Amino acid sequence: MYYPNDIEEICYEQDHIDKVWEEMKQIIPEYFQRYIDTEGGHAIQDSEAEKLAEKFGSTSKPKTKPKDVKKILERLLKETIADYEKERQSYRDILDLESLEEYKHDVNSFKNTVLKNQIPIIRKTLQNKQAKELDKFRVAFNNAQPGHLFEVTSNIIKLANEWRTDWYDGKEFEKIDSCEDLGYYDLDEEGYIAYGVIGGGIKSTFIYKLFPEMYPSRSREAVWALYYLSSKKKFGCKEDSQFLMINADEGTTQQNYFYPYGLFAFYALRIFNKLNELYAKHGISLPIEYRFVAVDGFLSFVSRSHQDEINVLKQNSQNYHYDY
Amino acid sequence: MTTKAVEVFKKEFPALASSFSIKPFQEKVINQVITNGSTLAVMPTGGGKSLIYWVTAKALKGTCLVISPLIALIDEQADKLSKEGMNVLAIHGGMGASEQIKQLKRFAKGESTPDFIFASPERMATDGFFEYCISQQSDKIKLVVLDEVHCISQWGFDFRPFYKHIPVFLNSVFSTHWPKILGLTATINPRELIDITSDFKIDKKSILKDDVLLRFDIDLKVEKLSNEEEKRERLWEIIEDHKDEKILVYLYRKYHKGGVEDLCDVANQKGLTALSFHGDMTSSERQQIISEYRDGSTNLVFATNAFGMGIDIPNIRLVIHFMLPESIEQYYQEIGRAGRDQNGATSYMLYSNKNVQVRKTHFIDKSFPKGDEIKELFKKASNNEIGKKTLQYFAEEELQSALPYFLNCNAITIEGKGFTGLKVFKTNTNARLKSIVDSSKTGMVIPVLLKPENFKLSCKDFFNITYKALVDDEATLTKNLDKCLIINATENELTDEQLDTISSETARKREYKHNLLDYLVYLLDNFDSSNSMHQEIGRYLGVNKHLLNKIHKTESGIWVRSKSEVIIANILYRSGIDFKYEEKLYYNSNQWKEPDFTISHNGKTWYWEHLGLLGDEQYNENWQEKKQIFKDLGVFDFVITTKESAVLSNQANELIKKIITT
Repeated sequence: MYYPNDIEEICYEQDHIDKVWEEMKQIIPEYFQRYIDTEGGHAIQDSEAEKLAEKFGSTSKPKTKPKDVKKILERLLKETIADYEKERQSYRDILDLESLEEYKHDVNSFKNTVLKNQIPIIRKTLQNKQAKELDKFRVAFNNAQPGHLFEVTSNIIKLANEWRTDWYDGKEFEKIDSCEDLGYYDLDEEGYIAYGVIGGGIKSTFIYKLFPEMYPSRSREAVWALYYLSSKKKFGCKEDSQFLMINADEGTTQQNYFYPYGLFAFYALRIFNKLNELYAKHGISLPIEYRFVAVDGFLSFVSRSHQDEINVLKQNSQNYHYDY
Repeated sequence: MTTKAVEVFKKEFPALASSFSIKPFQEKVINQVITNGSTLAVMPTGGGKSLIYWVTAKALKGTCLVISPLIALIDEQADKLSKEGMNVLAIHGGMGASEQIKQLKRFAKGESTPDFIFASPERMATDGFFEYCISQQSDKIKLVVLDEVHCISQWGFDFRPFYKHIPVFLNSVFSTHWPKILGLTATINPRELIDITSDFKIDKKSILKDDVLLRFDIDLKVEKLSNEEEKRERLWEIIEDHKDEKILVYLYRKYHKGGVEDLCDVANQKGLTALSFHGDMTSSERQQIISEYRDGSTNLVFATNAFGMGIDIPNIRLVIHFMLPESIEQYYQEIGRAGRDQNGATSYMLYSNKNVQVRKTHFIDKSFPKGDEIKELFKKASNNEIGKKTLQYFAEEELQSALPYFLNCNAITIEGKGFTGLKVFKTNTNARLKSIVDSSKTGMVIPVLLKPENFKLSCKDFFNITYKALVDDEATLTKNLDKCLIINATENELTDEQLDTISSETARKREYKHNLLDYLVYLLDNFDSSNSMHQEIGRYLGVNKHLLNKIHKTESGIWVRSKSEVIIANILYRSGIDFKYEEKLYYNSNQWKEPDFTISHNGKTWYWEHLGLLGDEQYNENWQEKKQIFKDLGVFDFVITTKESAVLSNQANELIKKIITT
């Protein structure tokens, strides 16, 4: 996709989505195997170890022992969940319906105390003065109307809660088989976005931290991962992969920071179902209360395994602020 | 046959020689240096490196210059050598500056002839007076010892930039006639070893590795856990299981949660008596902790890797790594702190995937300066001006690690070493020096150096005027000379090309460090048993394949391949019978076999083969071949064999009776 276009219409068609999914379905097991072999990207594969042995002048290649795949996967899952849980409580404490009722009486404080200092993702972004590419986010945050930020946050949290109460149904959720049926498009509407401040990334973090069984995290890494899982193909799009945002003027490429949450969430659900099947082969049943945590851990791995290429693609880019 | 090494040991160190013999490997290295010259010796921690250079130095006569990385190491050695009656000059910051000048002057004038001079690599690189004085008596220096030579490897975890400067010092002092060089280290991979041999003009054939480089006496245990909480739980369990032993826990963080001080506090709250140890503590605080740990007032220390070289506590029974080291070398050096008394020890490695990530992103990646930082550091060194400047190396800590990058891309050259000001003389009768001092109002050396009358002088010649006047008693000082490097910046600012060079150099080093860590993690992830881990590390360190299976130590101190061989070796030893393990028996000019034990008794030679794996096809074939060779050599009547048996000890005793009575 070329900046600043929205994604092409074709991307919303179920046929198209199924085609993209066919590709992903083939590729996921390969990445999953690598996920196991490299312990989620923390270890090297046997072939690399052999090369290193030679590089260091070792007298022979190192021995390996058969991997205990179940143990590895259980450990990775445990680590991913522990990472996820680390800051979760802050989101739960702050972004609950009762608190929102109180915040509305002092939206200035909501912006400058609650969002700015207590919501981890925003606090860290604002405090990261070293990353120049986040300057625009800081400016946008400072300029934003407190009332607008409150309203958008409130809309997101209310809708997420409403859906969770009204129709979410545990295991049945996994049976949803069309983007239409999932129906998350509302979250992409005007009332749920504060441009430059609460974009797709931060919005999805809010609800992912509240209900990981229902809402996936549309992080930068996750969108990059979809680009790789779809083999970088266009699938009939006129421009480029729908998961990319190419700025021809700047000569830079990034993950598509405008990628619609409604579509993303549907792919994430299918990825979960596929992962569930792959984990089951090793005797592990993924906990549904952490459904999208498992997906996030895997997508993050996929993206990290292409980190060098991603760094080259996004070099010089100043547009990270749209991530949020 | 008594070799030169044994002879010198007995003559020069009679007190020691009366209580123990030098080990075969020590003897081999000493004789190699005496006969063939420069040598690089690799031996295990606690393997007796010091004695090698003590004896070699005395065999070569003259003065031995020892370059050692730590004051603690220098003091320990100087103390031990003095007790042996040696004349030692140890030059380091612990000695007052005027005393240093006095002692070095005496050496330069030939008034003292120390057997050993100790100095750090930083002193060699930055102290012009030291270099001048050594140069005056350079022909007396017969041996230069590089202790802990792995510190020179720019790739290694212990890299000390100024180890790289040692060859420059040697060229300056000895020109092309270097004395013999003896490099000593414990743990280094073959690639880095080769780098060192080329830096110090050591023939690759002169690398000697101890047969028992590996520490099979340490029982390695590796546990991969999911998170810090699990690791902590395990840590306290392990400490509880070993609470009556001396325990060392390695961490790489001093402060904050999970750091050395934090865990030490937790341990004390749990009723344990623990101390913490890290680099921010003063030297006397550290000495105090070491002494309490040594005498057993405390048995539990939480330490960063500041607890390393130079600390020799024999009875540490357990080393726990609570965080990942950055390489196999570091891991092996650190576990090598355990069981130095050879009475066995255990080591636990507790790690998680998160630790791997943190090691990479936090410790390794952040250890390299970024583009803007590099520019700032260059400005700090050069003030963004072309030309000469003084660089007070020790006052600018950040520059210590950045300077090599500037040197490598030729943005800066080191012109020499000297001092910053000339207004330091109480008396001065040297006419040349007087005119130099008088030519400057402020006494700053750089403007003086730049004057037309001094333009033709090299830095070294310029500063040597002062040093010579001091040694010749033509000048005395009101205050001590400071130390600095004289650098020359070739650019106002780093050019794009130079920045690119630095950036690719840091990228290369970063990748190498990632590789080192990846390889360590790979071995840990594939951990199978303690012995196989030692063997893997042995392969990495380039240990001869043939030696990797010598995993059992006998009472006489030799290493053998099986417990049955331990039984036989111990019975032979207790019977007072002279024997060698796996000695070469040549059956033609260049082929040999190695009988398990070669026994010399009553003028007869016996060969003892323990056939431990009969039944294995390949083993049987080998034995048949060996048997034929014994027959061809006409010694088969003196071949004794034993097999695996529940009564092996009885059989061995009977066979020994036969040897004694025949």
